[in-house]
Amino acid sequence: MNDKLKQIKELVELELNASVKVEDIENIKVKYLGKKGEITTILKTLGQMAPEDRKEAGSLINNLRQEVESIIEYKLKILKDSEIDKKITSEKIDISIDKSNEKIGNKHPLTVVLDDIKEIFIGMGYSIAEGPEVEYSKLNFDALNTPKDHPARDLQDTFYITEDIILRTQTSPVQARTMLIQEPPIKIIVPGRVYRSDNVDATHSPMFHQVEGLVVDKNITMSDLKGTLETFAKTYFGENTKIRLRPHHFPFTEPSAEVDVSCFVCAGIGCKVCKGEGWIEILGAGMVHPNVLAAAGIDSKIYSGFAFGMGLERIAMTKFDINDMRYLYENDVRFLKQF
Amino acid sequence: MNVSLNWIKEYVKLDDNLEIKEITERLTMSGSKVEKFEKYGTLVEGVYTGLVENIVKHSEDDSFSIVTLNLCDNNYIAVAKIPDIAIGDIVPVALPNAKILGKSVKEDLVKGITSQCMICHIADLGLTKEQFPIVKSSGLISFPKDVKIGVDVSKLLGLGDYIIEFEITPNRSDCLSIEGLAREFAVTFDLECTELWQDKSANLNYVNSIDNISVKVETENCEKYILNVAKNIKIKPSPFEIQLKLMKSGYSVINNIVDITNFVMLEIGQPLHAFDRDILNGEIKVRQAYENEKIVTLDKEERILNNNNMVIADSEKAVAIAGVMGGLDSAISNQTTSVAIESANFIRGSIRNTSKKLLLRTDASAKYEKGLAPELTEHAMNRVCNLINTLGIGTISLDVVNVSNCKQIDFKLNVDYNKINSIVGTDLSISEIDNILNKLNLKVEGSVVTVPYYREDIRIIEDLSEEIARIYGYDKLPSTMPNTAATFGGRTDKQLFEDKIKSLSLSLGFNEIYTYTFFSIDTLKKAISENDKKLYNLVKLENPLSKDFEFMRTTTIPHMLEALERNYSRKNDDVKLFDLGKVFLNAENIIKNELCDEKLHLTLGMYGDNLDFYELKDVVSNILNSFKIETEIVRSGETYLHPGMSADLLVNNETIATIGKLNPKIIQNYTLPENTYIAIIYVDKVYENKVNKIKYKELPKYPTVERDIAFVINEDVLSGDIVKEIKNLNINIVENVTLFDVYQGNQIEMGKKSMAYRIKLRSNDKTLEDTEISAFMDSLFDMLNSKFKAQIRK
Repeated sequence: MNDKLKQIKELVELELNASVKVEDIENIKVKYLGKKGEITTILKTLGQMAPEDRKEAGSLINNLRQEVESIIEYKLKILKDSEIDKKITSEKIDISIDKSNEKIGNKHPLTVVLDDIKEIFIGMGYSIAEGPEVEYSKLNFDALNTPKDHPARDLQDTFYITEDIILRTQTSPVQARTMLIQEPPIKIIVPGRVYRSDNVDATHSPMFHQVEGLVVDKNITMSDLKGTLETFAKTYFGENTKIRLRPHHFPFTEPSAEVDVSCFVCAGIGCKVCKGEGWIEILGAGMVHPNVLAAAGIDSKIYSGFAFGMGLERIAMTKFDINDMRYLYENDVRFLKQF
Repeated sequence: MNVSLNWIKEYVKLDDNLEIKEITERLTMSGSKVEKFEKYGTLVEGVYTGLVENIVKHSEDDSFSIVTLNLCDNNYIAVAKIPDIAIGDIVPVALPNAKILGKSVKEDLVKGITSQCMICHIADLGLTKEQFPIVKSSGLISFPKDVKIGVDVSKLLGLGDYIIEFEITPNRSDCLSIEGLAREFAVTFDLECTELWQDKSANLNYVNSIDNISVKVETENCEKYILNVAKNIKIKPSPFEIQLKLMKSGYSVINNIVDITNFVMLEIGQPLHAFDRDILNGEIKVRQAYENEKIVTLDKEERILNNNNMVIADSEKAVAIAGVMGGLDSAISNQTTSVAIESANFIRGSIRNTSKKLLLRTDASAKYEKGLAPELTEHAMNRVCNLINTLGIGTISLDVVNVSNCKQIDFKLNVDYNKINSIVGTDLSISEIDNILNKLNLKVEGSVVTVPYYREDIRIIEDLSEEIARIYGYDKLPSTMPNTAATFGGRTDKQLFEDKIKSLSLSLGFNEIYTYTFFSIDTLKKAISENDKKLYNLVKLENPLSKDFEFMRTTTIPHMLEALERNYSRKNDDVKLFDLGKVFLNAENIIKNELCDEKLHLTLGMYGDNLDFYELKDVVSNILNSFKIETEIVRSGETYLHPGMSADLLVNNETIATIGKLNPKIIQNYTLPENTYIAIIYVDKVYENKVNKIKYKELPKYPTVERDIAFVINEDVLSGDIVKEIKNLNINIVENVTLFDVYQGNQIEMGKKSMAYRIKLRSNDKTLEDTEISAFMDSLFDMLNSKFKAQIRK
C-alpha cells in the first residue's frame, strides 16, 4: 500500500514537472483527484479493507491526497503568475506621453496670498468684513480722522465720482462701517480692492488690493498689536521671522508704526529681495485714533483698539519674487499656471 | 529732505566714531525715517586752496599750461591740461605727498617741465557735478573769492560728509528744517542741542510801516505776515559757507539775497520771499486773487488765477502767488539795491489747493501744505536780520511790520501716566516718562506738560503716548496677544459660498484672472452693442488717469475678451479663464448721492479647437448643480453671443447664468478664434437661490426598466422640451431620459433630425409590470406624435 502511494506521488511530480500550461495541470488534477481519479479510486477501496488496517491506510491516503492537492495548487499558482507576468511584460507603455491638457485651473497669485492670510487671522478668531468699492468720501476720509485739506489726503490721490462719492483709497471705510454697526469686541480683517490715481508702472497700479485688520475692545495695547503682527509674520513667513516696528504717521492711528519683517530670503543679512536692508516693509499699523472711535460712536475712554493694513500686491511680489506689478493684471496663463 | 550730517553736527556733538549705518538706523527707529544716504566726497590730505597768479602756455604743446599758484607766500608750479583755468581762480591744489583717493601725489615731469603740485579735478575729491554744481566745465573747482588761500580743502568742503535723505511724515512739518532734525538727532542720541545764534525775535519792533510800505491782510487764509526791508544791498554771490550748505541740500546757488532766504528756509523751515523793494508800489495787500487775474511767475510762466488763489499784491497788481511762487517783475535782479523780505504764515489748505490747481509745487508750497507754526515767522525774520548784518550784505533793522490774525499761546496738556502705559502696553514709571518728555522739550510741571510751539502735532494724550513709545523704543515694547472677549471668527455663509464658486471654477479647469474694474467707453463698445442700455448706464470718474480708466465697469465681458485675446496673440493654446469680480450698476443712484449697486459676476471664458457650447454648458451646470439649483433653459438674447448657440438659464424666470459662443460679429473686433465661448454666472442670484436645506431621500428598492426610442422630428424642436414632456407624462415612474443620438443627413428628410433617447422607468412602490410599461410607451408615442409630429422609428 505504502509503496503504491509513494509511486503515485512520484508519478504526479513527474507529470507536473513536465507540464507547461495551466490546462495540463487541470488534467493532472482530474486524473488523480477527480471523481474517477486514481487517488479517489484507492480511497474507495478502503471499505473493503479489514477494519484494523482501515484506519492507518485511511490516514495514509488522505495525507497523500492533501500532499498532491497542495503541490498541484503550488504548481498552478506558479504557472498562473508566470502567465500574468508575461502579460504584464507585454503591456508596457510610454508613460512620458501626455494625453490631455491639465484639467485643473490655478488660483491667481493674489488669491494664493490672500487665502493664506485669511486662514491665519481666522485661526486667531477674526471674521472677514467687506464693503463697497464706490464709497462715500466721508467714510473713506472724514470718519478716519482725515478731514478736508488734511495733508494726508495728498498721499492718497483719490479718484472722484462726485465731491462726496469716490473710489475708496483704502479698505479702512469698512472698519468705520463695522464699528458703526457692531459693539466691541470687534476682531475683523478687511480684504478688498482699492484705488489711487497712480499711473501703471512696475510698482504702481491705479487699482490694487489691501488687507486690513481691526481689533477693538477694552484694554487693547500697542504691545498687543506687536504680538499679533509677530504671530502673523511667524506663521506666514516662517518661524524664524522677526518683525520691526518703526514710528510713522497715519491720520487714523496714534501711535502709528510701519512694520518690517526680516527678509525671508536672506534671513536679514541683506539680499536682492530686501535691497540689502535685511528688512522688508509690509505693513502700516497703529492704535486706533480716538477721533476714529468717536466718529463711530465708540467711547475711547472705555475701549481702545489697533488696526493694521498691508498691500497684497507687495506681499505677492516679494514672496514670489515678481519684479513687475503689471504681470499680475496681464493674465497670461503661462504666468498664472506658476502659482 | 536732504540733510548734511556735518551741518547737523554743528548743533549736536555726535560721536565721530559712530558709523553712518548706526546713525541712520537709530534715527529711523526713533521716527525720522532715512530713505537713503550718500557720501559727500572723499577725504583727502595735503590739498589746499591756491590762487592762480600766472598762466603760461607750454611752448611745445599749447593744450598744457604752466600755472603759477600762490599758497600763502609759497608759490608752486603746476603743469596741467585745464583749458578753462584763469588768473585769479582759487583752486584746490594737491602738494607733494598729498593723499588723494589712496594715492600719494609726487613731483612729476610733465612735458619736460617739473610740475611741483597737482591742480585737483572735482573727481579727485570724490565729488560729482550734481553734488557741486558751481564747477567749471572742465571739472575745475574755482572757489568764490571769499575763500582764503592755503585752506585745507578737505575741511573747507567737509569731504567725507554724508547727505542723508529723510522721509518726513506730514504731521512733522517741524522736521522739515535743520533745526527740527537737529532736535531729533539730539533726543535720539541723548545729547544736547546747541543754539548756534541768539534768537532775538522777542526784540523785533513792530511798526506800522517800513520804508513807507504798510501791510493789509484782507483774507482769512493768511494768519501772519511780517515784512522787513534791507537797504544798501549789493547783489553778489553769497559767502562760500552758505553756498556749500545750499549745494549739499540740493539747492541752486543764485545770489546773496535769494541764497539767504533759501538758507533760512532750510535752517528754520520757514519759507521766505524777497521782493525788489523799488518795484513795489505803495502798500502790500494779502488778498484773494480776482477772477482771471494774471501774473507771470519767476519761472516765466503766465498764470491765470481765480478767487481761490491767494496773492501778495502792491497797490497795482499781484506781485506773488502767496506761499507758492513770486512774480517775475518784482524778482531780485543784479540791479536790486533794496529788498522787502516777507516771512508769512498761510493756511495750509489754501496753499495746497492753489498749488494743486496750478500744478505748481515749490519748496515753499510743500512746507506750507504741511502746516507751519506761526511762531516760525518771527524766528526766521530775526535770523534774516542776523545774517544780513553779520555777513555785511546790507543794512536792516529789527523794525518790522507784523500783521497777525492768530493767537500764539502755549499749549498745555495733562499727562495721564496710566493712560500712556495702557495705550503703549508698558509699565513705565513717572520719572521715566518725565525724563523722555524733558528730552523732547516737553516741559513737565506737576503733571502738566507745555508743548513747544513747533510741535503742533501734540494735542492729545495719544500723541504724547507716541512720543513716549518712540523714544523709549518700539523695539523694546513687549509682545502680547489681545486679551479680548471670545470672538466668533471665520467666514460668513456668503463668503464660504464665494470661495466654493472659486474652487469649483478651478476644479473645472479654469484659471483665475484679476482684471481692472474700470474701462473706457471704446472697450465697452467693442464688446457690447450700444442698444444694451443697461450696460451703458455708467458710473463716471471725475478725474480718471486717462480715457482707459474713465468708467466703472458694468460688465466683465470686455476685460475677459481682452485677457483671452492677449493669451491667443501669445500663442497659448486651449485657454480657460475665470474672473470673479464686481460690476457697478444703477449709476443713477449717484445723482441722488447714493452709492451704485455692486454685483459679483463670475465670468468664464475659453477658446480652443475641441471646445463646444456643450462643454461650457456642462461647466455652468456643474457649478449650479453644486448648489442644487434647477434651471430652465431658453435661447439667449444677448447680442454679444451667437444667437443660435447661446442660452440663458432661468430660475423663476430670472436669468441666473448666460452661456454661449461669442458672436462672430464681435469676434471681428478682436484677435480671437471662432471657437471662443463666454459664460456669466450672476453670483448674487445664485446665492439667493441656492438650496440650503437638504433632506435625504431613500434609495430605490425596485429595479429599473430601460427602453430606447428613436424618432424623426422637425430640426427646430429642442431636446430639452422633448425631455420635459416625456417626464411630464408620468412623473412617478420616469426616472431619467437621456439623449444618446442625434442624426441629420442621408436618409433623413431635409429640415428634420433623428433623435434617440434611453428612458429609465422605475416606481418607488413596486416592480413595474409589462402591461404598465407598454401602456406608458403607448402614451409616449401618442404624445410625441401629437405634440411634436414625430415619426417613430421602430
